[in-house]
Amino acid sequence: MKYPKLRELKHAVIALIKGPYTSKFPFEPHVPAPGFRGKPVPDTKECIACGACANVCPARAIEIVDRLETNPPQREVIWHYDLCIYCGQCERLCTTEKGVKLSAEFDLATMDRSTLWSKIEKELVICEDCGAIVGAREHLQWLAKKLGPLSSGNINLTYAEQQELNVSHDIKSGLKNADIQRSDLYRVLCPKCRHLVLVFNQTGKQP
Amino acid sequence: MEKDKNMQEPKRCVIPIGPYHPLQEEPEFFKLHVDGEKVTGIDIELGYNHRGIEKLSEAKHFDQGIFLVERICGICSTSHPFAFVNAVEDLAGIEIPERAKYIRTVVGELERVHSHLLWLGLAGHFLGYNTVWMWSWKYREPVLDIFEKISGNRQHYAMMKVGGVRRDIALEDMPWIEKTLDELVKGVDMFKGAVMDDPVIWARTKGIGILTPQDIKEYGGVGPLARASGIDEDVRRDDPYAAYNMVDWKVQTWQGGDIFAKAVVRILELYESVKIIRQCLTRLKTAPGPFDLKVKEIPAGEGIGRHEAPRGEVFHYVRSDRANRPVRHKIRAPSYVNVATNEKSVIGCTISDALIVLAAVDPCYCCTERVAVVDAGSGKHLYNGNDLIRLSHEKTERLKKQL
Ligand code: SF4
Ligand code: SF4
Repeated sequence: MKYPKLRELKHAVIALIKGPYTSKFPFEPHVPAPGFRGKPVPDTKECIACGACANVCPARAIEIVDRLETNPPQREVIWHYDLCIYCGQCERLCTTEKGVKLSAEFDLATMDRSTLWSKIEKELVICEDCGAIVGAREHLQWLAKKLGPLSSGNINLTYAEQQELNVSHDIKSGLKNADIQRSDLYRVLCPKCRHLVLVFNQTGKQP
Repeated sequence: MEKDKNMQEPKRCVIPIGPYHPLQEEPEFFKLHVDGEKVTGIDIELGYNHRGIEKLSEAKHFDQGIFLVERICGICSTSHPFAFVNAVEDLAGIEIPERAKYIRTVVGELERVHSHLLWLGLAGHFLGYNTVWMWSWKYREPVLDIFEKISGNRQHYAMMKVGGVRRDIALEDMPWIEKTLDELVKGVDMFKGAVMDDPVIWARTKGIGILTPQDIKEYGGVGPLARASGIDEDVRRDDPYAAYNMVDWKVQTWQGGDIFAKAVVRILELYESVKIIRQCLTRLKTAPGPFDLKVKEIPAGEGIGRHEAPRGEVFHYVRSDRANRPVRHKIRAPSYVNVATNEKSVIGCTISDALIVLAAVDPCYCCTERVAVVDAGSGKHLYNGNDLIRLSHEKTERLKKQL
């Protein structure tokens, strides 16, 4: 029985000298190690609202809401921290690699779930013919930049680029059921409408 | 009040309703049948926490599924991803880079260290040694700090990935990790002493809850449980994966199959794990190359993956049809077979020993809190989990005075 008692005594003395091992959290903040996976914080400047992160999020914590009724139409990318598992996939697989960053913030407990979110709002480009979503404007601009000269074959991208330079026309949306003409090739169209213009109208056939 | 009256009536058995905390993983429900002080029978009921993980996994990409299986268990949260990536790599015929192998091994072994320390602490608590409990959790904390540094989180490390790992271990972190491990070994030395030379612990654990090698074979017991009965099996050695066949280590076994043997095996494994981690870190300093293969496509086929989790062999089966999700994902965790061995180990024990016998399997302890003791004759409800802890503490106190 001697040994165990001595051992306990030794540790008791050490504890007396060194003080308690535990920290004073929450009265003293805990600073996590660098690279800690805390709350993901989106960056309004760098996020292009492409929605890729919502596809890879294992917990489906990222919600994409497309609002077509507003003027101009808006896309919201919403991070729900009550669903988030802080895995870091959205940061790792972000299209621009800078759109969202996991911060060191971890103490998110609250009594009100509905406060646990952040969001990004970006303008949407919609098809001039049918009104379907083509993409977020900044996403198209990002693509145009990334492709460089190669993007000039794509009217939607060229348009986005020109709009950034302020030399493009405004989109006239909702020209629904207007006769498709060859000149429509130079308008902002969704893939379906572009297909109609290219395949049917050039051979003189109406859809 | 009415309920109490019902309790007094003689019945075959009483099923206490609740508290089944659904937030704690692996809720098991043991119903002990007792005759006076002796345990004469046990009913084990599982399935209180069916979360549909296998079905959910079929709805997740291979890359997302890892995060899902990681959350099967909070304590061995890299074991399932480890077995899952082994299965997918078996399916796709991927050979991961050397660096990834070492990093995976480090993560797997660090997890074993913290899981065994957690068990030691809780075993101490159940025996009435709350000092041991506090000590072991104190020494466990630096291990979690290492995890926070290398993976970004104390639990749920998110390190595994098909074709490699998600994060590298930086060269500048290694001296610190090695130093922390040195400190840890001092703590383990102390635990070794505490188990080996404390007569009260001897009296409480020796010859109690014995599982013979035959029992282990019949019930298919795995992990430290089997190794404590002298069965020399370990997936890490028998079916090597990651870097386990590239470093020098030994499978630890012990004879006896009692609680003492189970504790000894776990403590000895702590030393082996630290040894493995040290060697891996040394190799990582020079191991070249990428730590991730950036796998883009998983072909059709089926694969199996195994990993020696802290509690024994975890097994994953994955079938793919070339889509980005598994068509079938089957998981078998070690506790599932190990918990059944309680049927052998607990019968014949006294009630005050029952708790530590059930706990020696190392299931999740929050589960054993739901124990109910039923008198075999009248079916009367006698004790709940907290009473058992109290009984266990009382026995230790008694022994302390006697010795
Ligand atoms: S830019 Fe990044 S953060 Fe923004 S929506 Fe795309 S993937 Fe998500
Ligand atoms: S950290 Fe993970 S769970 Fe959270 S929003 Fe990003 S991808 Fe989703």
